[in-house]
Amino acid sequence: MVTDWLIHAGLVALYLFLAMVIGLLFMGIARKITARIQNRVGPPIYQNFLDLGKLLAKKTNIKHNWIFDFAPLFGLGGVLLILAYLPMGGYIMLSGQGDLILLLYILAIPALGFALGSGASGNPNAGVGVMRALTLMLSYEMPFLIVILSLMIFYNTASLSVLLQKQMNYLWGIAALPISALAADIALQGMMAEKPFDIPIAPHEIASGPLVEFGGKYLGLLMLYSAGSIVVETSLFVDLFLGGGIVLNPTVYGTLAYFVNYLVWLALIFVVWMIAIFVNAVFPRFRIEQAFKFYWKWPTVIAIAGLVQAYVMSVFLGVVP
Amino acid sequence: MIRPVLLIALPLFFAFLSPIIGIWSKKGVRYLIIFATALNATLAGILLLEALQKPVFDIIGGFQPPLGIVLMVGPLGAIIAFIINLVAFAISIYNLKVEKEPIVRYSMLYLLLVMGSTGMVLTGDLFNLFVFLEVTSIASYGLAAYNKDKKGYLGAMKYVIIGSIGSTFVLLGIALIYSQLRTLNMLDIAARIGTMDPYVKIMAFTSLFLGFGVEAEMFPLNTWVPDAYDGAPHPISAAFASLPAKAGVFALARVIFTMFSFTNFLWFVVVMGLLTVFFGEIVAYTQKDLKRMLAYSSIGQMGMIIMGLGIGTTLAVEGAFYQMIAHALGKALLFIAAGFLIYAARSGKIEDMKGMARNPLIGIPLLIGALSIMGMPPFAGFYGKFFILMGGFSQGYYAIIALFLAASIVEVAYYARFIKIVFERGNESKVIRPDAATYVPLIILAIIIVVIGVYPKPILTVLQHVGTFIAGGA
Amino acid sequence: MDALTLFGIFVLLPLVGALVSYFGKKYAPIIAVIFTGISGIFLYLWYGNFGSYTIDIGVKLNLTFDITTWFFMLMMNTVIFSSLLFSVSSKLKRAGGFATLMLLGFAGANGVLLARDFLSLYLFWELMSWSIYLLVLRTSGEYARRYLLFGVLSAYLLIMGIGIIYYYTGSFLYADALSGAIPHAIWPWILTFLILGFGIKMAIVPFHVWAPYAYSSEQPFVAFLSGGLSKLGAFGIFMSMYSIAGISLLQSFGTFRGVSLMGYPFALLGAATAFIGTILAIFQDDIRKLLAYSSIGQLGYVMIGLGLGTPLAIGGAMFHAFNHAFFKSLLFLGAGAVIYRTGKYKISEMGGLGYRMPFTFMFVLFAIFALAGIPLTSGFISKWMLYEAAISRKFVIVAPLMLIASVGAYLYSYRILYGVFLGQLKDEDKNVKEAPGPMLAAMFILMVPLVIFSIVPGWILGWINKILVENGIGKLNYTTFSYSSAIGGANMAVFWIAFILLLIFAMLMFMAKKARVVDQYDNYLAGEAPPSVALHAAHNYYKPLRDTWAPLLKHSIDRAYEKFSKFFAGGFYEIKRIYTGNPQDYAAYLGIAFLAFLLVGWWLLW
Repeated sequence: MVTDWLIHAGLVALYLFLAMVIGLLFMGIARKITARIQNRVGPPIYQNFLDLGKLLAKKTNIKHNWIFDFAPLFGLGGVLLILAYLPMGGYIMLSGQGDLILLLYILAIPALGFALGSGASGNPNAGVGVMRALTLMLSYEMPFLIVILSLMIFYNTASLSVLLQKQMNYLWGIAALPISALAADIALQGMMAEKPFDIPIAPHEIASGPLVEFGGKYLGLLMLYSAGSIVVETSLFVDLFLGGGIVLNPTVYGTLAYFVNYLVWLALIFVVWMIAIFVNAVFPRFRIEQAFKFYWKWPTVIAIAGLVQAYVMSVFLGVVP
Repeated sequence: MIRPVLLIALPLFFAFLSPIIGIWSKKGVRYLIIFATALNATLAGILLLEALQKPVFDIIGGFQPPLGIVLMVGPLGAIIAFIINLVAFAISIYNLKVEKEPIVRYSMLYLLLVMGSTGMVLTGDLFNLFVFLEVTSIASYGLAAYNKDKKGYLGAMKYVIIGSIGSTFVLLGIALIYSQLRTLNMLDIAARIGTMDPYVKIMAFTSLFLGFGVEAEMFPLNTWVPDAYDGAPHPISAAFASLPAKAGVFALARVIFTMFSFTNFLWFVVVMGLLTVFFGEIVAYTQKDLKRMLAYSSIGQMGMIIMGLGIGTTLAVEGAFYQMIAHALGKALLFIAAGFLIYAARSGKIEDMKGMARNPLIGIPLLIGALSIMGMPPFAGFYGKFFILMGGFSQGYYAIIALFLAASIVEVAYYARFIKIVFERGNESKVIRPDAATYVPLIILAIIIVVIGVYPKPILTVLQHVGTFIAGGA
Repeated sequence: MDALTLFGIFVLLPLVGALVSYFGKKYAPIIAVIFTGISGIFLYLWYGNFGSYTIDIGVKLNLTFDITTWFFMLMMNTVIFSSLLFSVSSKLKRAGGFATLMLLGFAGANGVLLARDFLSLYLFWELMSWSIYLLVLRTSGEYARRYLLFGVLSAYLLIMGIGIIYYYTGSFLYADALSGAIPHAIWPWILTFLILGFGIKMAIVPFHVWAPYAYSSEQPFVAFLSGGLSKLGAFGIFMSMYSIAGISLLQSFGTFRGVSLMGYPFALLGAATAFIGTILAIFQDDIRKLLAYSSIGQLGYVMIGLGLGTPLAIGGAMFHAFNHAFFKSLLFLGAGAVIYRTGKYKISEMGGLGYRMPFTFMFVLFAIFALAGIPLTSGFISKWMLYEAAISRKFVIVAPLMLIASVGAYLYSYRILYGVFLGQLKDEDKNVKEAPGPMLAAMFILMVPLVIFSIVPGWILGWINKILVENGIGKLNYTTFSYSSAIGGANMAVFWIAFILLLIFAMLMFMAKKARVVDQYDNYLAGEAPPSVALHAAHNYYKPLRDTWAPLLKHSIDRAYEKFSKFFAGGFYEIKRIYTGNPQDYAAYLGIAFLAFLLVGWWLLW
């Protein structure tokens, strides 16, 4: 019993570590690809590992006050917590112990910690950045929450692990609810704060917004936070719509299934990430009120259409996945 | 064992004693009326205890009823008489503040007003009732004009005109009844009312109802109220709201229940009550002058009592009587407080009274009075209003109650506006402390309001006799 | 325990306390704290000691002490205890009057909770109502007037409902309402009147306009008003729907996806309230108004739960009411502490106070966690229950509104955190001290349950479950640490262990290197600072969002009410013209009345 728990915990730690590595790698890939699209050479793919090493090794670390520490603490701790609740490659980790609603609210923990820390820096750019981030959040959550609602009422579950199970047995979300998947992907762009929605960061306007005052180990840990966030966001989409990458049933194929599923999941989140990066590379930036208007208009309409589809299928047509 | 006639004889005696005392000491006269009303209130209290056992009949002049004049005191009459005298006592303390001469005549008229109102409640004879009505009215006319200014004269003049028409109506009703039944004793009338010609009966009822309606401030006979209240000295405004008005509405109850036991006509009384409430409250909302506002509010409250009588169930009539008591206490309190505020602000306009009630000695009683009038628990006004409403519901008067509640919201609106102004901050330097003659009656009234609101059992025990009253008893 | 003991401890004792503390002058709040403390101790001792009693004060008051009453009394008592404890050191003017009125309100609230007949309900309801009115009056007469008008509107709606019941049953007892005397078709009227009447106290849209004004009064009082007394609305709605009418009667009006058609419209109203309250809260710069609108929004959630009426929904509503009682009073007290120390109300004028008032900041932070539904506090669990209740029955209008309102809550929460506690410390606030001890103690008391019930939700869910079972609604699925619905569930023990372990890990990585504290100007202005530069970005914080909402914000319910009242007041002046002041007219009225009366009488006869 105790050994089971320990093995489980060890596996979770391994998955979390891998997720961080993947996140950093993805950041490097994104830089490279963006550079190529824009006809530059770009840094090497492993550049972000070097950056992280440098930042964590810095001798001078400055802070303004004790609340400043909230950002790295809650940022890193929180993002790891989210990852632990998010199935990766069919390995459900803690998500049997907490459903999608819990996950949605855990998503706020690192963000809130980050916002507290950057607010405590007293830099107006940070304040403006967080304001934009929160406004953007209100914007993209509208379609995104409706999409999640469609999934929940269509699959009749709020639990991610059950959702994966049902997608495996029935149809992937993207096949069953394609309209919602479209809305979700648009929302995802905002969630990842990639162009045209990189308004909270906006390096040229507000000097990276919330990040402006962080340096040294603070910035290093926050970099880990962003790396983790990339995996969280892409993986969330994969888990919701692409069956979590499960192609082999773990109860039948055992350990092999976990390997294969993990690789498929990796490929899928890479695809989702690439879509975001390509869009990012070619778009200019919205203003925040444009982003708000945009999200509450078209993606919301699409999401509502998806909701209607889900509602009709589950309530009137009696489709039970 | 005391005779009810004492309650009438003693004020009369003191009224005629006061000029004699006045020769030696003007001040003595002021204290004389306090003593007289206190004595009267005590006697009324004792009488109430007696009447609770069984109704007291007092035969005057040795002639047996139905020929002779009789005083008929049931528990309800006794408690109204008690409250009237109690309030009269409280107001007589405030009378110490009246500075205008001639104080002797003022005192006489005041005692006559008390005596007339008490008599209207106690009497068991229709013509006697008319006599007391006239005594009350004439005393009121005199008092209304006592200030000897334009407002006072005009108010009194209107009062005289409307009041005399009202008295004429009463006389007409009495004549009609006597011509048909050859009797004026109330119980006797009640016993023989069936033999009356129905058309004449309606006419008699209408005459009496409207005649007493003038004193009871019923719409549209209440037009004299604002002017007379406004023009009269402050204690008299308080007295008007509590003494003759209550006596008038009690006389109405006598007419409705004791003499004519109508059932199919009562809804019209309810409608008249509702109209009274409606116009009273709405016009009160528009008033900028404190005493006029209170006068119109008084109309609204009287309308509620009339509604309660008209609804006619035990609960509603119980409520109406509770409301009479609560209103007598509450409105007297408010008029006394208004007197102070006008004195402090040197103006009758509400907007000039900023922060004038911030002294707790005046503020707390004022709030208690206002909340009681609004029908808030645990003050006296709560039970009356609640019972009348529930009585109305039990008869199915949904729409009427809904309209009544709408009018009540208007009432709350203007009281809250008034409270807002008098408790407003920022005028601290001008706030003055009331003297004993002002705050003692306020506190007496406030304590009674709170006590019978928190523990209504004594009053409700008396009001249990409402059943017999409705059925035509004493 | 007999009737008089129960009535004495929970109603008479506060009333006596009210009288005593008026003369306590400066010490009035302490006296009041002691009085509420005594009834609090008895409340604790008497758990399980339930029963029904009758008190005769001329009218009969039927009182029942049961788990529902106990649960709500628990909130009421804790909230007023902390509020009064807070007021001990807040140096109020005329503290005697304050303590008196608070205790009067408390007595009224306890009475409402104990009452099981309409007369005592109405009696105590009005007692509570006017004591709040006078408390608001201490700050502003105009606000008080608005409050009172809505207060009596609420009372009169209740009267209508009570009156209709009385017409059919002839009794004021709750229990008699269901005796079958009331025709089926009448019930919707009764319930609508009662629910709207109680809903006004909960500040349900469109009856919410009194709240932002009333909530701008003295903070210890507002903490009690928003935290404690507004729950009476929830209690009243719960009683009228699920105790007086009962779930089977509600279901008999037809159901929509298993939810009574009687309840569903109110759930929609609640969802609209949650949404509107939240959106308006985002745009407030006055901290009191912000919290007020937030309060409106949060009580919308409670209304949703009560309207949906499944066991999970009602359980969620109860739990959310409980949470709201604690976190909202904590927030108001936190705001009160800040206002007490700085004397400012505007968020944009404050800033950086978290560095000077660290404990206040921590307490407020926890309250905000609860408000935003972060799982570190029990605020999450109640929201979870409400969401799952709506989603499991597939309500596609209620659920998204609720969810998006909850995102909106992040926005205004951060506005408080950033504007008040973070960012740049103003020069004039450089010497601000931490709030005094009693204030901190009061806030701490309110914070504790929020954390405890997040770790061990089973305890409170046990009480709530008992309420649901006793009223025949159903039961919840829960164990000591976990809870579940038809479609999901969560285990708080796992969550907390994972959270603490990962936080420790992050801390280890973080602790590896020491950091040096530098001044704010060092980074942003590269150390080249003149003595003072305003760097706080809290002014007009969500301006871009506000600009997008501007066309909608133009339509205000407030102004609609003002127009309405102006229209009527104009009419009143027309009616006034009846009293012409001319005796000839008056005499004519008399004659007309006589004729009319006579004709009607004769007509009736004929």
